[in-house]
Amino acid sequence: MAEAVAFPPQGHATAAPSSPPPGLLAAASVGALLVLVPLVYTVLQAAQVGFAEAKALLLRPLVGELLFDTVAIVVATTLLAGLLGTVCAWMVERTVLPGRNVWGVLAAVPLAIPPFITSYAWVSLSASLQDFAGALLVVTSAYFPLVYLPVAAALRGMDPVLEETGRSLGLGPWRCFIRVVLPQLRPALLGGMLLVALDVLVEFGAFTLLRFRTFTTELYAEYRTGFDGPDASLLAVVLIVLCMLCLLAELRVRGAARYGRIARGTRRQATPYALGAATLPVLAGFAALVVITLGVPLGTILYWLTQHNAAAISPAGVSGPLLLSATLSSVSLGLGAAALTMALALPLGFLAARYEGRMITLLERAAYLGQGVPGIVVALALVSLTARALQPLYQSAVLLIVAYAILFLPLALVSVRAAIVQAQRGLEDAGRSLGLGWAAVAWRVTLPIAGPGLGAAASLVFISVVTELTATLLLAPIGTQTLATQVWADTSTLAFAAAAPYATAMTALSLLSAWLLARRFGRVALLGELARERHG
Amino acid sequence: MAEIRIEGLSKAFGERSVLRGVDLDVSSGRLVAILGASGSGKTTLLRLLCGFERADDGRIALNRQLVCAPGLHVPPERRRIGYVAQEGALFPHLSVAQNILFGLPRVVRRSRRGARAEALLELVGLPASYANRPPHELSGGEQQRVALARALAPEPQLVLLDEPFSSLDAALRIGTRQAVAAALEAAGTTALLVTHDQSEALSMGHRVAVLRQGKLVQVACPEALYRRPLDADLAQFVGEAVLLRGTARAGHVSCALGSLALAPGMPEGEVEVMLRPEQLRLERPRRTPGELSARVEGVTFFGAGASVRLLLSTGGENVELAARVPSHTAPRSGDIVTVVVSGEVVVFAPESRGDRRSCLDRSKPAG
Repeated sequence: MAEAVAFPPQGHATAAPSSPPPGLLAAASVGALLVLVPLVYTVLQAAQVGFAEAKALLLRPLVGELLFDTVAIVVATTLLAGLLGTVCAWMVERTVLPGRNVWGVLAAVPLAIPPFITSYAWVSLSASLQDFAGALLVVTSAYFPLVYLPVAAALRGMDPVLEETGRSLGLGPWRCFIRVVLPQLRPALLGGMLLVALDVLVEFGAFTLLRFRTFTTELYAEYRTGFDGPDASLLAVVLIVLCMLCLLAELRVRGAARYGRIARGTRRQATPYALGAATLPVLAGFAALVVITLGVPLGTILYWLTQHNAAAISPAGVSGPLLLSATLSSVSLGLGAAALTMALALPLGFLAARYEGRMITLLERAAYLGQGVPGIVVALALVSLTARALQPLYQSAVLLIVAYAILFLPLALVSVRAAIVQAQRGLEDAGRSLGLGWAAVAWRVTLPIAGPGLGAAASLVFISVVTELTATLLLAPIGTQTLATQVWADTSTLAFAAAAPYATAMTALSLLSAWLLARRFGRVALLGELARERHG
Repeated sequence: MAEIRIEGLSKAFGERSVLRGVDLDVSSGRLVAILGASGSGKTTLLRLLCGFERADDGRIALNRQLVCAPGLHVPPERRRIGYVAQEGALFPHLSVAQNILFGLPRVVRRSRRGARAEALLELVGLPASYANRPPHELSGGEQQRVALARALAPEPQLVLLDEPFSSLDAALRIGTRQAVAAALEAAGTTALLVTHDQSEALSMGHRVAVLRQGKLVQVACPEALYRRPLDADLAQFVGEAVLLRGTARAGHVSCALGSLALAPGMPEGEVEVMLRPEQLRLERPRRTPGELSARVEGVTFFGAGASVRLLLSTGGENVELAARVPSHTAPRSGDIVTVVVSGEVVVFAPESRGDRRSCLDRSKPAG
């Protein structure tokens, strides 16, 4: 109570000044509007198709097949990831499993490996994986941490007294899990599963390498073959609708989770379950999981790295300078994109954290809407838009960086807003009353408090850009090779050994940045953030 | 309804011994309050009874049936012990009625849903219209009552209440206590109430068991515990106490307050004398020989009563006293009053001071 009086919580009408400065509003609008550009452009393009033509285009057998395949893989992956993530989380959080902390980290690490790298590793092992089962294996092992992380966090935060009460009312451990624990996990579990669904819908690289066709891969194929604007736009709209459905469902689940929380006060640590005779099988299960999700991808890349004389067909011999220049362009694109994204996210995050109003809510929602627009759609829209109307930007590094900013603004915004909320207004007021000007307050109060969160946001954007494939592939200026485009060029011609050095560099860069971030800001915080948004 | 027999129950967490050979019998249909400061092991005792933790040693029998013994651990769901947690722990995803019926077999949950839930709501003094509400719409006290109804629904052998009123504010607490006591009485259930609040233990328990550093130090009815505690620490823990040095002989003790009548069965010799502040009556000085006059050092007003700090000078020695008087009779600071002792006093042999330092939590406000 005392704190609540001292620092009124942010977002209350009494605490926030009524209207933001116009300059801030304008700066914040830039990011929000930019995110809407590809969405609006694509919809407008699609709207040019006449009704009859649209009907004919959409009712093609191809669209039906794509819809079936896409929905099938999304549903199967989501269910499997939900099951796997929940079981892992429960084992790590609620049992006396030996080495549970290590298993806990290992279950989260696959998030830091780009799915198309995992896919490349499996495909190079066996071409027989190029079917539904193979696709399921690859994307599930890449995305199950999106369920594992939130469910583990929910289990950790759950008051054990609920479970104990269930037991005292006559429920055995298993029935207690079904009737008491699972309902509490619902928001985390469903939220995680919907993120998996969203990511599988927009996954491009992994499926293309596996020759598994979804809406996303088909869009790319149509672009390569015909570049037929309205037709492709129509498919893109179908994909956007599917994504928006997931996004809306996810928002609903998260909104609902805020209600009905009645536990207060301090929590005890839950008593973990003994595994007894099940210990060895469970350990074996975890070992198998780690081999599949981490061992095979990393091991395969390292294997190909040692195959200098190209057991596979090698179109381009690996050269040191090329590797260096690809790494440099990846890193500099990452840094540039992080800077632009932060410049767009800061005013928006500040506005959302400090002011209230319908306009502000609208701007924030618009920015989050970006999550529902797949990378392939953003990239195609920007290609088409610049080719027609903004020729000088066409195939420029600037355009690529803008595309990254559009893709990752929602991701950065989550962290930026949270960081600014932490630097409470009351603290700034205290600084002002002690005789500091606003600039001095920003430097000595706000920045030290919000700084780590802002740093985390920028690092997350950097990691995402370095491992991004779709937009990079479509928008990279001619002659610019990044790690992602190099891996892609080599793997799609089955030159697995040639791809290995780039894949290694990229994976190392991603793991290293993730590790540094985790050390600085905490493992769960980081991976949780990373889990928020990943465009394939 | 069950009788409980606990024998030599011990539990340690790592190096820290939390319960050290607890023995306790509770007869059927009674409510026993377990009173202890934080860290005394009372919650652990409750969790061992429920079966949430395993005992290191000792036995627990419910109705002569062992549920806990060396090599035996009946899981919580098979003990038929109802549990009411500190903050109710209602399932947030279920309505009030679904919470109440949670522990009943599916058939019963489906068929007799309305009537059963309503009967239990009535038992804990809540209107039937609450049945379909989500738990978070209820006040803290109402949540506790629903939690009790839920615990009583499967007709448990025993109900355990873990500090059920500690999270409620003072106004709600008394009403909720009465409702809970009435519901337990009506259901005729044996119950154990764990609390750190003396007044709660004394007002609700048929018997009160005081737990100190993992051992039960006294089990008695509330009045006996308050009037005749076993040592000076206990005296101060269950209420405010005046402690003086004295010499006891032949049913009387002589001390700064003169020669006072002893309760029966007290030790003799050099002793520590204990009386309750409300045993000191303050009167207008009449200047008769032998009367005890004291100066009022300060008065704290509580509403119905007032606490008066006194300085008594006898034989060149200054003794501080505390008296509790009805507030309308309270003197003013600086007044000279005559002190009269009413009722018998209790004395403790000096060795009972031995473990004073390490005992009960003194920071608790007394009385």
